[in-house]
Amino acid sequence: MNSIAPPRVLMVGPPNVGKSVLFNRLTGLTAGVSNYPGTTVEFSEGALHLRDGLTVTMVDAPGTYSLDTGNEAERVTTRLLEDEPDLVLSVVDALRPESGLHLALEVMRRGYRVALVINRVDLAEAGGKIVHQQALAGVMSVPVVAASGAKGRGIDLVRNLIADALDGNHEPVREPAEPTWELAEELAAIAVETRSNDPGSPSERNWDEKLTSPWPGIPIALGAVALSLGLIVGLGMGLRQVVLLPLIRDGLIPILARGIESLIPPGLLRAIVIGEYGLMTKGIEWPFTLVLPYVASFYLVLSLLEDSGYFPRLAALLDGVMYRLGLSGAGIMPLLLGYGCGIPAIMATRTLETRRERLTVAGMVCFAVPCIAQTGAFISLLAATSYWILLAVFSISLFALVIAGVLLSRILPGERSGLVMEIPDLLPPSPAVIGSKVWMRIKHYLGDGVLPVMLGVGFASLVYETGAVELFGGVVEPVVTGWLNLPQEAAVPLLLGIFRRELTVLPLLDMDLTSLQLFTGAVVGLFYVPCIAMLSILAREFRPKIALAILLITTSMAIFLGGLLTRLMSPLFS
Amino acid sequence: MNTSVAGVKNQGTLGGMLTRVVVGFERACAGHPTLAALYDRLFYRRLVEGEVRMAGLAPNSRILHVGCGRYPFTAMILAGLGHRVVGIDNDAAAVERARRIVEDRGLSRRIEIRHGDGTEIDTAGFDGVWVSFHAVPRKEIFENCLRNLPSRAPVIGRIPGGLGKLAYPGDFEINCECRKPFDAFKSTVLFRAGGESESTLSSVPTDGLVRIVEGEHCHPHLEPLGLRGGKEVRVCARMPFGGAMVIEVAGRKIALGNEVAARIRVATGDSN
Repeated sequence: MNSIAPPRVLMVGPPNVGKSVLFNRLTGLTAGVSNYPGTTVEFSEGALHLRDGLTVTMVDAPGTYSLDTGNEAERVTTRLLEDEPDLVLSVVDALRPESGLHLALEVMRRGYRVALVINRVDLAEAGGKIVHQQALAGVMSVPVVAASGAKGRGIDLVRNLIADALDGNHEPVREPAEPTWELAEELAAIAVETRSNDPGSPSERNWDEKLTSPWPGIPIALGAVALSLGLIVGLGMGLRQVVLLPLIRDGLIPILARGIESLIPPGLLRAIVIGEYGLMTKGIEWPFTLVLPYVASFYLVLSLLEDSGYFPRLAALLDGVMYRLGLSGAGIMPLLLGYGCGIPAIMATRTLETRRERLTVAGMVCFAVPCIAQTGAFISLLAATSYWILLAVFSISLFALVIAGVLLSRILPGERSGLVMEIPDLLPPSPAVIGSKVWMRIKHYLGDGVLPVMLGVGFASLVYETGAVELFGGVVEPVVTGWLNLPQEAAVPLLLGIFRRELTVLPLLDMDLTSLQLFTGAVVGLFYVPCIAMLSILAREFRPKIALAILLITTSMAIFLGGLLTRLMSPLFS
Repeated sequence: MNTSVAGVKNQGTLGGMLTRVVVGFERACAGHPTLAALYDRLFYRRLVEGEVRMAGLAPNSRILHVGCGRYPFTAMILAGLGHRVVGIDNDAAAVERARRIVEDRGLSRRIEIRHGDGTEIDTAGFDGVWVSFHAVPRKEIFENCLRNLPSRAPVIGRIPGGLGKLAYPGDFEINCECRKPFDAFKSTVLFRAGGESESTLSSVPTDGLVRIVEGEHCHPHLEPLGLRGGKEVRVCARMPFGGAMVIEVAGRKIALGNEVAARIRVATGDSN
């Protein structure tokens, strides 16, 4: 038995019905979850241990409204179905069952063995609805259970459901009905009975109406964005000053330094490891005290926006602006994710309907959206000198974002697809989910971000200590000193920037630059190449040629604009 | 132009000026075929084609065009789409000129230009009517055209929308539910003989309640989200700058881009 691969159970359902929440409950994994359609754009796999030592592979597929494929995320799901899973676990939303039931009918029609989970029963019951899973099971001749992934209700029932279905206690339906909307509506009426005709409390509805109307929705949105920025910067700075600086710079690093001094004799190696700009000094101080606090504060705020369901409302409000750029409001979500990290942002473009829109948004992210690691570095680099420079750099970034959007959407061939976006109900974010999401992000940064920065700083230190900077700097001198008016050493961060975006900025911190040079460095860093991880995602999601084109365009634009803006802005700085 | 010169007085000075500009433009088009072709290509053809889709005409339909003007753009596009058109105008000079243009284009077999007035003409025997933007008085023209049309035959009209309303205040408030704030100079309304009026979702105002008309779907997610024929839709909000509209269908809120909403046909008024 052991040599045979475990049975595969594919979870299928419309977007935002809580498939990933259920998946996490079942497998104990942490697939990304939030309250807007299209959070999951790739599939995740995890082992689920059932009774009698039976183990199955659960597969969480991106949400899809139907099997007649639309966007890239939905195609992932249809391809997973083509791999012939042993069981399809169809997840239906108890609040709005008909689209999930229609999809289940489509899956059954194609001859798959199906079991149904009616999810989010807690919300349905709170809204005065009654779920009749047995009645539905009877009519559809498939096993059905009711559960709530978010509250952890009925999870054992789901396990038993999967085990029973795989045991063959329920044969696939012989002649599945044709999936029509009339049938789906009838089944929905059987499955979920609406007792009171109460569509949520009046005050709640009133609030939601306000949030999605231009007035006062747009001022509220502006306020929410301003508050979010304030929280990100404020919390980040607080975390740095109160927790991380004392802990890391004043606590950990001196201990490390003393330990290493006793191990390594004075000389080049010691200088590289614990010198002023050493691998173990700045290499630890920078990522932990300059970047980490902003990673934490950014993802805290982002998770709140995601889980409350405010994200799609923001996208709807901004649709007019995005329309003028040649995009639809749905492009807002990848862009906002990009301010955290470009990789999930590029992945999230899979929910956009056309390739043209995907490429436009991905290009905008690569060109003009600084990731949070880089933003943290900007704040440290610039805020100490002048908040005005910080503001100027971010204004330039916003301006460039608009220009990039306008140009790309005009240049790239293809149609603009209209916005069709479900706006989910507002839900209070759960502190536990927010906490685990932020913690996951921090872990991710500690794993993927810190080590490259340490190595980068170590490399920079090696180059400076050995004098190799003269050699290397000499080659690029016309560009770095001639055109950008930066010192020769600034060539090194430009080289390192390809590994981590914050490395284009961090080493400038201790070069005693004038404020104009700081500004130039920040502008170059802003537009400079996306990191290597982003390039590889671009190559995978689009084509290697496109990744190469973006690399060339961003690099040349960064250097061109850096020099240009230095010359234009120099009167302001003198 | 149908009753245009007479109507100018009622329309306020801005409207009057615009009407004169349009008449001047048509005059220029009649003289300069390249200009006419350019206008047709860039803008007008798409509008009429959209209206034809909305009207759901059978091939080779018989169409009346009220207020065809000196350069019968609409009639020529409709003829090009395979319909037979009778264009009328109450300006004798315009009728003369339009006839010659139709002859020059070799369209005489498909288009007939007559002298006539939209408030009086008998529409019996036509499958549909197009009413020009500048044809006034609108209310009387619409009422007259709907009177003798076969049941369910469409009357397509353009009414001022957005900024156009400033220029043309007054008589267009017949039962037109159609508004397109910030976006369009004119909106299309469609009335069906027999009381029901049809329009597109994009022209329904905030808080308007409409029913979706059975038809093809321009986006794969519309049906699963509940935007299917016969469903009641409420417009909750519309975003500025040509942005999305937020609608509610069966308790579900959906943001729809303008271009999607413009392709969803809805029935308004007391059709039930």
